[in-house]
Amino acid sequence: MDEQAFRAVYDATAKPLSRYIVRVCGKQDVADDLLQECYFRLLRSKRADMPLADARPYLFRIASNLLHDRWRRGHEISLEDTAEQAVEVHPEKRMAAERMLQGLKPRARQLLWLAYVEEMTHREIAAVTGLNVLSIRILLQRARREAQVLLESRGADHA
Amino acid sequence: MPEKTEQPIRRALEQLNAATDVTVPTAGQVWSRSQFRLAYRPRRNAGASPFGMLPAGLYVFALVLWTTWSGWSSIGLLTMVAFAAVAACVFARSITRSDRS
Repeated sequence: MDEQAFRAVYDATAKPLSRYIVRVCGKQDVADDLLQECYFRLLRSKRADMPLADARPYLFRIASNLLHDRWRRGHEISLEDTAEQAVEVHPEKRMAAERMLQGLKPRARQLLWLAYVEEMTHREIAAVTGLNVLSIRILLQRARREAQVLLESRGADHA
Repeated sequence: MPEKTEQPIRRALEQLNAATDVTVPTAGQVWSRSQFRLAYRPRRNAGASPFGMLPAGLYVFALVLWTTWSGWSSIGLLTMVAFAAVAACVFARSITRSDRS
């Protein structure tokens, strides 16, 4: 892959990929390192010349694997850093969403983000996470239920 | 799950996505860092092609054949010698690789 092709892929994917990592791992400094590592691994791979449509899920898959490695090593997941970084658009709504995400397990956070923000299908999520489609369906359903309970309980707390 | 119950989750996450202001390094920075790492990464697999030790293996095989030429003609012996040569080749290759890394 030459520099120009890399720039095209990077410009199209860096921000969504960074947001995904930040929201799942919860630490901006860690997210910066993981982002760099994702692109390094893309360039190192034998499939570096793939088209953008393939590079995007490939990068999300690398990021998911790196995040999974961190969970396995028992790194703490906290969303404090991201709360400070957020831009105040609708503070109350954002705080509710922030708390909902904080209350979820990393896997649930990851699946909901891929499904609703990245608009990925179950098959695409399965390819990114390395899980099978049936597991994705079940885990996503569970994650939705947990998210819904968290959103409702937060709403009740503030009522 | 009905659309109605999905909507609050979708909205909450979209809200969060819009509110997350991430600063990423420029493409040029990431490119040059990656190129540096690619250029200076440890090359553990350099010279580890499966055919890299073929000449040495053939040499060992020929040598063994030449030294054991007197009167042999059995396929069994030939197979055994060939097997020993391949084993020697693999062993030599593993030594070379572990010495290098």
